[in-house]
Amino acid sequence: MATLLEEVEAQIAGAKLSPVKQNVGVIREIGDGVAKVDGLADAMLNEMLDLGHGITGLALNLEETEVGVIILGDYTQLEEGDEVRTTGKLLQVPVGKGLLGRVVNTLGEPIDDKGPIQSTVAYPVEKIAPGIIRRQSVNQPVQTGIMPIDAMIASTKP
Amino acid sequence: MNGLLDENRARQAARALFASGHRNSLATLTHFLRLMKLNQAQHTAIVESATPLAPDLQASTQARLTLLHGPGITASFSVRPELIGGMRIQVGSDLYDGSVLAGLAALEKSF
Repeated sequence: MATLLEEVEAQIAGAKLSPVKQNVGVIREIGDGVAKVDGLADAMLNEMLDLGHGITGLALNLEETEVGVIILGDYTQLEEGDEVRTTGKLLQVPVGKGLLGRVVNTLGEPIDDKGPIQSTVAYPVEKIAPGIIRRQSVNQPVQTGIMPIDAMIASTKP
Repeated sequence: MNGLLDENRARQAARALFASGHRNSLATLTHFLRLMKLNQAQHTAIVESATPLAPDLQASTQARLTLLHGPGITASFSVRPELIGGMRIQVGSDLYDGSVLAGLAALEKSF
């Protein structure tokens, strides 16, 4: 019991309750998994947005007065006028051995009813590839059997 | 002018556009209206609190907002009991939420 109380106290102490500046917007149009959001002046390209109801969106089309958002969840729970908040995180998914054999959705959340994924590391989806010098050298060609592809693109085995 | 909307010029532009009778004038006016609303939102601070704020607190809040967002900002004070306590201030898309309701929501998220 004492451990539980200490745990709850630690959670309360760790919660950020002081007012911080947030960036918010309002859904202006929504349909078919896509929304247009007024505001969100500080949104970044490929940033994850909190649409409420536990739904995450992806900021994809940054315009002067609005942001085009792809909704990664059940968009039927959302409606015009709902508040949207930036999260400050680019689109990322959990990585690691905890994902082996698991079935996940677009956000890396488990959908196989096998409980939460044991992973503490998340990687951005749009990650810049390592430079040519850092990559392992390759020397064995691969033929696809499709002449135009083999003629135009040099494929190799890693 | 100086980052602020000149109401007379905006009114003249809207009237001229409406009088032109151009086939796209209504669509253009609708877009113009939206831009004006966004401009107004950027220069208006919506201050919400659970109970009415005392005049001196309103004045200090207005002064602080002017420091943060420039002299063209006007504060609109309203009462929203569901905040329970504290204050919630929104200027355009910037939100400063120090209400008890937001604190409880943050606490709920941390568990």
